[in-house]
Amino acid sequence: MNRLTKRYNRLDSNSDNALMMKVSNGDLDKLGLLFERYNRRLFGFFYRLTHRRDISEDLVQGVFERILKYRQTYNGDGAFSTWIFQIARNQHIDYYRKNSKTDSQDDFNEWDTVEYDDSDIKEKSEDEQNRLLLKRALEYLDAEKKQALILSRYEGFKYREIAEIMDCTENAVKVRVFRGINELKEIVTDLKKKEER
Amino acid sequence: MIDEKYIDLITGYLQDSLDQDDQKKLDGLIEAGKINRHDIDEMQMVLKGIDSIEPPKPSPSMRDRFYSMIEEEKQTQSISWSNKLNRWIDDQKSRFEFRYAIYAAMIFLAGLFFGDLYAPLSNQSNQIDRLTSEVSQMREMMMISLLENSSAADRLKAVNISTAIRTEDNRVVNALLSTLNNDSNVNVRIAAVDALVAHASNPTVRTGLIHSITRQESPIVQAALADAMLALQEKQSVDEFRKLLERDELDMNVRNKLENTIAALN
Repeated sequence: MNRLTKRYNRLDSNSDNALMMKVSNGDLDKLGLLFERYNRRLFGFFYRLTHRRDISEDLVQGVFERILKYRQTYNGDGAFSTWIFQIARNQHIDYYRKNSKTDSQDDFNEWDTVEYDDSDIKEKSEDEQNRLLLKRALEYLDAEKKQALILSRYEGFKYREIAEIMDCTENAVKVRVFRGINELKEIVTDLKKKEER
Repeated sequence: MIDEKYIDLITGYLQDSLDQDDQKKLDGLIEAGKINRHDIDEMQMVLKGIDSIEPPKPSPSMRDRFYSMIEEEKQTQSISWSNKLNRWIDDQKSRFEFRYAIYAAMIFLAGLFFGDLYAPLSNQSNQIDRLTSEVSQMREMMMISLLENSSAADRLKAVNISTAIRTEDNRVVNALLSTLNNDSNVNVRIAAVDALVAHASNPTVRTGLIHSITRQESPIVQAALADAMLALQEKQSVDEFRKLLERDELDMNVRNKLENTIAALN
């Protein structure tokens, strides 16, 4: 999408920015349109971070609750998609900060038992095995590298946009992506070795 | 493992955002053995693996929760709007009774004060009086000036102007009496009688008219004076009329008129 198209989209009455400005001015029905455009993407983002459907749905609801609550502070600067994923990232951080105080157990282990049916990895095809191992390996990555990778691969954001969402420099994003991939490689190798034993 | 100093090139390559120069640079580094092609392939494999992990679909309850939230918010919004409106109307009512009434009165009084400061009402009436007086003086001057004119028509005009002059000054009355007694034209003298009757509230006029009776030779003017005295019910004129009746040359018609006038005044 070139710059002119982006500018046109911002001026378009049905663009994300224009709809959000209407929400900001009290037309709450327009938030329904934005929900339809973004709920799957946000759910996917949260699910890849948490691997929990129920938590991801709660977090999506939380994002729209925040938008509703702070709608009057929206000024239309920048891309709406960047703005909503900033809220989503903060929502995820807050959620786990809150849960880590009340729950001392390792959440990652809990997700595995709830969502994964991969106890018999050896019985599955090689591709399926690799996919499940990678899924597990993702959970061992620290949150920032994981977020950078997910935003880069699934959501199609450029490094510059991810930097905006994560409130850091573009170089920091590139370092997180680069190191995240290398760490995943190593984790997958370790997990494979464990499975072979 | 690829050296971190090539992060820009590698991450650009992985996101397919390298320009031609950077692509050549990367190819050169691979050829030179500084970057292992196999390491890049492994990184791409990891990313493809990530791409293949698809999340499930969210449950319908997620959508239901969202729309319930919107409906609740709309109700809160409409309640808060109607509350705000009602509160505003109540505020306006209470303010109108006390504050606005006081403000309006204050503004009105201030308007009067400043208006009187720059254009006092008393001054305005003084100005009008002064202007009226000036106009009257001008008419007076014009009248006296025209009376001295040789043209009977101008003198007649002067006498007519005198009826519009409202002044306590006796100059107009004296000029008219002088015209009545001395003007050579009968029409001018008759007009002077009518003009003097308009100033009848002035005692000088009444006295002047009475004294003028015996000075008139013209039967028409004598008759006009008789009508004027009757209209003014001036009983003091009876003696003067009797003196006229003693004159032998008095016109018969005038004689009858004077006798009738005397009878009426007695």
